Amino acid sequence: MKTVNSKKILVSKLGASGTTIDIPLSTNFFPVDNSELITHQFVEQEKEKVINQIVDNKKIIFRPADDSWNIIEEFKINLNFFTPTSIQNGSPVYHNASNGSNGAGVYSEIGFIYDDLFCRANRFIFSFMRLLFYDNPNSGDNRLLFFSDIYTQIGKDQQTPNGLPLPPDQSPISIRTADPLLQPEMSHEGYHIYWYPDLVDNAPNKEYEMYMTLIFNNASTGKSILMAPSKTLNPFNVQIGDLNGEEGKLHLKVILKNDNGVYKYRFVGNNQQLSSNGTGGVNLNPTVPGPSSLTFWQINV
Amino acid sequence: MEKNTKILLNKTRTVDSVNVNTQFNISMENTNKPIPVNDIDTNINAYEVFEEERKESSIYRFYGILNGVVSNPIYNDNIKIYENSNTGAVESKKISSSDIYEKDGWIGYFNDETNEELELIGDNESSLCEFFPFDPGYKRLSILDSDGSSNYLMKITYPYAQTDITLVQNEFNISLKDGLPIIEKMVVSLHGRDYVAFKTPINHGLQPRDLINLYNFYDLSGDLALSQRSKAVFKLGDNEGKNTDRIFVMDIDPLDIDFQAGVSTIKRIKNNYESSYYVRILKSLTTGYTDYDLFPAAFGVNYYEDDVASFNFIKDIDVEGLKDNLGRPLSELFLTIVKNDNDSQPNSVYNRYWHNQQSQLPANIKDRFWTRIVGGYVTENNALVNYNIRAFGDPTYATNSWFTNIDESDEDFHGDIVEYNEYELLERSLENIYHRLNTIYRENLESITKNSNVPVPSKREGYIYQPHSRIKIREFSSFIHPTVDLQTVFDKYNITSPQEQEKLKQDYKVPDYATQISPNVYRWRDLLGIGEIDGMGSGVDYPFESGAHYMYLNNRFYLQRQDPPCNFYLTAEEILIPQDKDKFEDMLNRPTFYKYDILNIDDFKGGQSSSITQNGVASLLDYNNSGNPIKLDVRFFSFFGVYELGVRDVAGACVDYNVLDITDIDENC
Repeated sequence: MKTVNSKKILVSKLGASGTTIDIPLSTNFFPVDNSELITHQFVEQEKEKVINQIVDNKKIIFRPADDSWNIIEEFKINLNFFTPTSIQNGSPVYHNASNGSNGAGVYSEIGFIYDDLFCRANRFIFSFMRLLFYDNPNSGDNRLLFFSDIYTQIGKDQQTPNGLPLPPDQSPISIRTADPLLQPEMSHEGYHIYWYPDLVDNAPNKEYEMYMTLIFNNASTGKSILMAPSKTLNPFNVQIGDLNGEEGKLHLKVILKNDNGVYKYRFVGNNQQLSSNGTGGVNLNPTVPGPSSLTFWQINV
Repeated sequence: MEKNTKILLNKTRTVDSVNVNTQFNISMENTNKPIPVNDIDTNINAYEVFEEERKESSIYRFYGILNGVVSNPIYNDNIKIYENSNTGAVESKKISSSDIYEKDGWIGYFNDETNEELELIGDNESSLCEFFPFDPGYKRLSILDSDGSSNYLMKITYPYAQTDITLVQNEFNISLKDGLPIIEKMVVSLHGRDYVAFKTPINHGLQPRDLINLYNFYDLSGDLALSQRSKAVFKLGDNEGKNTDRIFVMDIDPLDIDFQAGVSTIKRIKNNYESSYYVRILKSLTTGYTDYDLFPAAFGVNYYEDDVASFNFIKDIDVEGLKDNLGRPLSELFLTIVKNDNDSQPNSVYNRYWHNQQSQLPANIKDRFWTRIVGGYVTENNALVNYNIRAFGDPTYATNSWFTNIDESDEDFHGDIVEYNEYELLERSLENIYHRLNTIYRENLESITKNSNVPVPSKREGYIYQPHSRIKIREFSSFIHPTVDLQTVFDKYNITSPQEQEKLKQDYKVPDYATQISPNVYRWRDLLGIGEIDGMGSGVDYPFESGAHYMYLNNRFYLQRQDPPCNFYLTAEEILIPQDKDKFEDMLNRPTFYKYDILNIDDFKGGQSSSITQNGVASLLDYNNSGNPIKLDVRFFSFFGVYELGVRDVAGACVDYNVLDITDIDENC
């Protein structure tokens, strides 16, 4: 027998719209805690978030190239300083000023004597140039990415045909650096750049930019001298605005590129830095026989 | 405050109206988050995270060093090649046998004139007293090459397929899949009793007490029951216990059994599972020279003063989803090194010289320096055996087969000969493959010199090397997983749906590479994780960094002679001076020249005698009295190896000179 209540609805009582009977349905709701959800989902998700992403630290070799992205077997870096005599006279000029101050200075102008060169004295062989690579060309706002050191050398340019060191007033302050495979007998410091390939591969056009400056550390005098790939006409009036930026004289742009699977880099001088404009030292495609070269000049006294 | 809505009941409108339900949609939004009932703390184990990331990664990065042991005992000619600075023409000058030197394994000469050749360091100055190897020299053979054209190409390869070969020539199409062929029967005596021994052309991989099945043998006694019974290996090696890798002995009277070369075969058997034999084929995972950097290793010079090379594969190798020739996840890769046949600039002085020398050869080879690479194995010396790499070029083997036309640009390479036993679930490598190449000039010397005054037979001995070095990236467990019999489960619970069966297979963690020994019954070896070492010491462990596995490879690369001549005899020829002066000069230039004796010295009296001997060769060449000729007995070495590969200019390091009278330096000083 049914235990529910029966209700009668008279037909005459029905209106135009439907007649319904409310039948309450009640549920007994027991709140449960979310511990399972928390343990299996929330905690796992939070753990995932807290674990560092894998960072790929792989670096590979980038080889130097000329303006046409052809790999160059060697290149030369020349340093040109203000001559001591001109500094004493109060009007500093670079070495070889009478001929446009192009090319390298000589070791006598930065305090070295013949014995230093002949005996490879510590103060000579521990002098070095440091190439510093930054993420942008604005000093104070840029981050140092890495640097590489190239020590002074008595190479072919610093020797007589008999293999003896040239006198310091004839010995150019230059280094040659070359491919260790193709030029095994030469010095290789600074020839390669080691950098992250994925940054280059993911850069626009697979070209990644950085900016280089050069400091010469003279172990003879203990001085670090900032150099620029562009001449400074008035060292007593160097403005920060002249040095910084894409068109400044201090930072030399370096482009790293994935050229169809071959990783290369090249120096890209701005208008002040190109040797073809007469003011700069970037000469990757020399018109006369000889290696690609970069010339840097002392900035201030 | 929200707007209130009043709803009048129908019965308030008319007396006849009844109330009906009126419904509103009321949306209820819950913005609460579950609140933990208590503090939640959890620890993250850095090692576990490392293990998890390592397990998930299938990326490999290979780097290491390559110690090349290479030299040029197989050179084209003992000549100095140089460019005439006045005319620009490429010229050559014969290097006399007395001026040929060996320096750190390289054969060449010390320059005796200035400006004919540039110094190696490239300073355009005198190269006086500098050592130059004959061609092919450093710039064609060294691992590190400074001429801008790489001498070798390195690749990473993996075994992805297998193939069958006919190892021994026969008329019945018996090949490696039918078992290891027998090429020789021997008698081995032990304690006064004779046992039969058989020789295989390659390593048989057997151990004493191994069971083997014999096929196509002759049962001379009639009661050996060869088709019904497996036979045990009694011992290995011949009567002297030598050549154990290729000779096995069985306890059968030699008079009761015989064989047919290439037709009679054996297969090792383990628990009724026969081994199968095949050649693995390797596929390249890298393509060219830009996939890796190669540079001199810091302070890396080996015992022979050769530079040790460092390499670093720029290209990451991803083995995800790759299967080997047996359908298993990869457990090994190979570092493959193939000789580049374009190893110098086309217009180099040496190339110009050799191309000029080869101008009358067929068009397809006259501008090449190297022959095409062929592949094969170091097998027993038997003319019926194919793929004998040391015999390539031997006329006795004129009808044999090799893997031909191999090039460094190939994607697939033949690999080793392997035995696989389904009971053991392991592959065993029996023979590694070798590549062989020679220079076009040496190989065709007879054609090149046929119209000259001094025809020279071809020199068919070349270089061989092993191209593939194994890289073990994973290892299978030392233990076979207990057999999983799913068929019994299916029958017991009447599981017939393929989906349910597959689900159950996954639940039992049966890998997709498991061997199905009967329907739904599986056996396999677990592939050990990286860093997982089982009880028998199997397993691998190597650095994991930056999401990739770093594998350091320390490899040697031997460029060997194809058939080093370990024996020699002396040949002699009588000539007359001054009639045969030109011939004598040519004899002095041969690298195999040994010495000469004046046979008729007694015909020359007093001062005349001393005048023809006091300045050695120069005195003889100055002698012009044809009415009283000097009789010379000129002697040469004639080196020979195992195979007929033509003239050999340089003895193998294995040659024994003890039979000669060797002058002690004390006798002269």
